[in-house]
Amino acid sequence: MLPVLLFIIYIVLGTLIAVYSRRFMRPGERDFYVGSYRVGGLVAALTYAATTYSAFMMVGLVGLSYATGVGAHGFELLYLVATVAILIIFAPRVWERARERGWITPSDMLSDHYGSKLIGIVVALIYLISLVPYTALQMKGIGEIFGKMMGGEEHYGLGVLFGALLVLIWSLIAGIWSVALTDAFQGLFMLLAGTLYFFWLFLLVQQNIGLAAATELLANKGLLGMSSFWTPHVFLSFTLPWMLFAVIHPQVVQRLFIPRDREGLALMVRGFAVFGLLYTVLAVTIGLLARAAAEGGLVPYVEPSRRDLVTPTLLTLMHPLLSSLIFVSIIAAAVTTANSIVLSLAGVAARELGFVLPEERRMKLGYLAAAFLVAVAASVAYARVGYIVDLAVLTTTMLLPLAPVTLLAWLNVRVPAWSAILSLLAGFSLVVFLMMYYGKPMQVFLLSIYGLPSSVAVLLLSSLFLAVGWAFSRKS
Amino acid sequence: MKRSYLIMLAIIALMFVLPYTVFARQKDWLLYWFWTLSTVVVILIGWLETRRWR
Repeated sequence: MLPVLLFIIYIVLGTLIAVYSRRFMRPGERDFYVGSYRVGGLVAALTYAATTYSAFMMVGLVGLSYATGVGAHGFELLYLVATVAILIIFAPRVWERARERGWITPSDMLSDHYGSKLIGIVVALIYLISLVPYTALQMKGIGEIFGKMMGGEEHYGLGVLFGALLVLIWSLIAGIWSVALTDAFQGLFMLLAGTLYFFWLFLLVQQNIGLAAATELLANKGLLGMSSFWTPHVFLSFTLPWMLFAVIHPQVVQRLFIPRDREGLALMVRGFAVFGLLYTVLAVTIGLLARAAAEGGLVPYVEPSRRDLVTPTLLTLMHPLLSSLIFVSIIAAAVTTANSIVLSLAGVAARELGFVLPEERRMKLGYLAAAFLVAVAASVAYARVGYIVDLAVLTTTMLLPLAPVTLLAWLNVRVPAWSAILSLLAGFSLVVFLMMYYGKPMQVFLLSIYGLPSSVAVLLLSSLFLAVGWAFSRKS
Repeated sequence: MKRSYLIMLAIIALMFVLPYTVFARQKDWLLYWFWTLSTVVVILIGWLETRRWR
């Protein structure tokens, strides 16, 4: 009964916040998707963080740390420091040009920079193909967590339905305003629940076996250094695509446009960095402590190959109030990621595929696109298409061809539009070809091409076409 | 390139290299703290940079 009660409170509070956010809303696309560039710094920071950190953190990363040790800490923190560095170097110029040029979506940004409507359409298609499996995975996560929270697999479908409705309703009530404000509320909740989860496990380990014994148990398993899982190649394969997350995922690129002033932009970057550090340290430490507790016989041992079951197993050992809070916070993490992607993709689809329509009709097309995307993602999640989990692993690799093109735009370097389009198509085609050739997305993710991770090959191929275009433009 | 950007990039490079050289067979929490404190330093550098954005 307690989980249901907490879940209802979460839905009611979130919906009240979403409805309240309508008072900030003005008519028009620019307000619906980027808040007319007047979102406050703190809300921008929390929506950036909540959008970035999905249910992966308290389920996937906890399990990865449990199974593979402290190397998972390096993987996740390298993503964070790379994102902070990218934001420090590029955020002010992107923020300023978005205002000057009236960018609403990342595809607007690329179309405008390269002077080609076609590039926006290509980018829109890459986003749609790459991000639908990732969104479906969030819905699947909501369904599974909801099922566990309710104590039965038969509730999975209901969980997916609730997730889909929350994502759609909280996105459409007031666009970016309802997404950002509900993200802020959920982001704080995620951090609070993560902190409580950490302290519960820390006290359990400290009071029963002590930290020194826990350290020894982890050291004996080789989990405090680079374990056999984290070979240099695997480490690079995991980290490199994620280090460019801030450049290639539309939902976070779009967030660079929204802060109301430079002070707000600065607050967004600082707030995200602090949130990211705290949340990562909590998730990884929970994973390591859980392994020590399992090795010491304090909690049931979960086979490392079934690492995603670590958090669900630990939740069964807690007080129901605490486990319910954590369950709901994991659902919140999935919702915040999914609704930001859906809103961003709806904007991209409406503006790129409906560019001939008047603004009012494009708005309606955006609502329809959001509903369609949610329906597709929820259907895929409901059908439990096994391939989706694998495909979602490759999402960031599929988006990688966008990195060179976007970075050139941010550096204000111009190359002919045809070379940018070829660069995108070549990189994306390479990923699709590798996926069809090898059949298993995880194999492509960890593939070595002349000793380099597949992500590097994709980046090199995409960059090559840009270099050719640049050489041509210099010659002419 | 700005000196602060170069320091950030150097720290990121060390975060890749040192775990496979200095900290490869760590038996204590040193690698954990190396990565955590490196991140803190990058965030602090970033924090100082953002103060110039006004």
